[in-house]
Amino acid sequence: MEFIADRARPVGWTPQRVRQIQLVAEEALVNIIHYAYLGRDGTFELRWPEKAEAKKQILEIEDEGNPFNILEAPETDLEAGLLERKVGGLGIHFIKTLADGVSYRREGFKNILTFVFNRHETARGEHRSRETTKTADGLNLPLAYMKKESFRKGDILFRSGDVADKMYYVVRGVIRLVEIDKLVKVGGVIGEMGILSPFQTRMATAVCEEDLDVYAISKDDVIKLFIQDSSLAFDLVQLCIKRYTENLKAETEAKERMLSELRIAHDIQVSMLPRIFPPFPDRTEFEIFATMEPAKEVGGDFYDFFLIDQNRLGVVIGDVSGKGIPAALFMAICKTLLKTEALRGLPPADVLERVNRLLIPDNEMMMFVTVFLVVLDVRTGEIQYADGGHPPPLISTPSGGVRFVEVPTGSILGAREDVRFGTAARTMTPGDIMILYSDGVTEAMNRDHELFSEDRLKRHLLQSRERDPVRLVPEIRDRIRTFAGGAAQWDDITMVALKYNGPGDPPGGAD
Amino acid sequence: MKIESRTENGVLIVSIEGRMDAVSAPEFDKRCDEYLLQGRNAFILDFRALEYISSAGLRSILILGKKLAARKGTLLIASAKDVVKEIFQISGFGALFPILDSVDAALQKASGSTAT
Repeated sequence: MEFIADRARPVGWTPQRVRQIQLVAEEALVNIIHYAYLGRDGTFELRWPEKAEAKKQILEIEDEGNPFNILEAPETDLEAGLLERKVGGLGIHFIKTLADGVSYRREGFKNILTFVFNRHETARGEHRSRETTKTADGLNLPLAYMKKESFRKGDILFRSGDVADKMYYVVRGVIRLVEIDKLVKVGGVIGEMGILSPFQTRMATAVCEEDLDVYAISKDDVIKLFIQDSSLAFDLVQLCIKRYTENLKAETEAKERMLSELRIAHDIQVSMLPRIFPPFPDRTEFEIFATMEPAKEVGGDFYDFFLIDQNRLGVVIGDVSGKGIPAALFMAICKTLLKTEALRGLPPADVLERVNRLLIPDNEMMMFVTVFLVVLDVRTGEIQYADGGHPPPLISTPSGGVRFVEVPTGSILGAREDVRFGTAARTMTPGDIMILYSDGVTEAMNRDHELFSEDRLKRHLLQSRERDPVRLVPEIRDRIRTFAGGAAQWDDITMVALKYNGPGDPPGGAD
Repeated sequence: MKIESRTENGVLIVSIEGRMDAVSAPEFDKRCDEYLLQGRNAFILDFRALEYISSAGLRSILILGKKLAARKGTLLIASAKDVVKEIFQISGFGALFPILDSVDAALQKASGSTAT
């Protein structure tokens, strides 16, 4: 035994490993004495050749006894209980377990047993070697404890919500985590978070992008390994924290991007709408006031007013389908087109028809818009109007009457080329106020899921004494707010109040 | 190898110092047979000073265990060094003869099992 110790220790074998080599040698010798020499006296020779190749060490034991190959002797049953357990065979088991290689040969009159001991940094403790492989993230995985599995392209490794019971190391192929659109390639590890996480379920679905070979290890085995090798536990925790941080960062960035997109959309929308009141201060024939309060996710409402010529005022209100930047941009297009076409002085139905035709092509996003367009001739109070799927406005008279305007034919713009629009006409008498609004008003909801509805809008106007558009609009807004009672606002709330005062003095004197 | 024994609460505590290998195991067998002849039924093997055990030593423990089992006696093992624990693990003996942390723990367990 000293022989082995003297040779092994200086070269840096751990004391534990030295003990194991000694044990192997002792077991071999005992068996040789027993079976080769059958108890009689004999000699044997131990050889421990020094080799420059530090990876392996050979120990040879030679004896001159009867032919005896220790490797052929039966091993003991490790699983047997106390009573069943046979007394012999343990030594052979130790030899086979603790040495990395054993071979036997007979030369002439000699038995020669050759043992090979690999240089491990830690000694062998179990049946399997401690060979580890380093993953792309620097995790040392003991491949010998892992089971190789193969999958085909398109196979699903695990689904979101499945029990997290395994961890995988990719040696060939690519895995895609569907929900976060992330790829795991050769050298990568997947499923590690499921091992450590207190939530027993998978957070994403893993699909094989290509034919796949992996090494898998179950959660239970990983935990067993932690007991043997705490550095693996530490590395795994580090890896999980790294992943978690990366995911968090990606999530935060995505959120910020989305928020800034909404902010941009909101800014586009708000900046496009006329907000200076009164817009035509020198005109006394009419008064106009408008408000647009966007919902949290930009809703696409807009309004506009412009003088077509000295005597005619055009007022538009509209609502674009969709949300976000695409809706905001489409709204900008609609608003501009409507104004441009309306400035030609055409009847409102023609304006809507022309705008509709212009919107149809290049409408890949399938966006639609509802529009109500009214042109007021300030000399007479006559209004001409057309409707493209938009809720009909109300007219409130000084005597207290409130009526919905009857809208002519028409339908939403941007959907079909063959939509027909009609122009209707009536006359506003001095003091009349037209209230244009978007469906964010009538569809405002309270906590009981009741809608504000056209009814309440009409009723409010009937009850209200307010005849100044600048005051009336906020009053209606407050009524809606009171009604909603704190429930969230789902859609833009837009209102335009147009009051006709009568012909007044013609501007500049000339006609 | 040195073997010492003492009795506590009716339990025989056998302390082994040194190596239990092919050379020393027979002596251990002999001593245990003497104790068995004296009618001792409850053994605690104190391995605190045991440096090394080979298959021969395990063999001796197994034989002692079988003999005691036949007489409905108890065999417990206390305080083994890591080296010895490892051997127990590889050989599967850990399942047959659990190693307790201390002689006191073993005594507690022994008195628990003898009380019926």
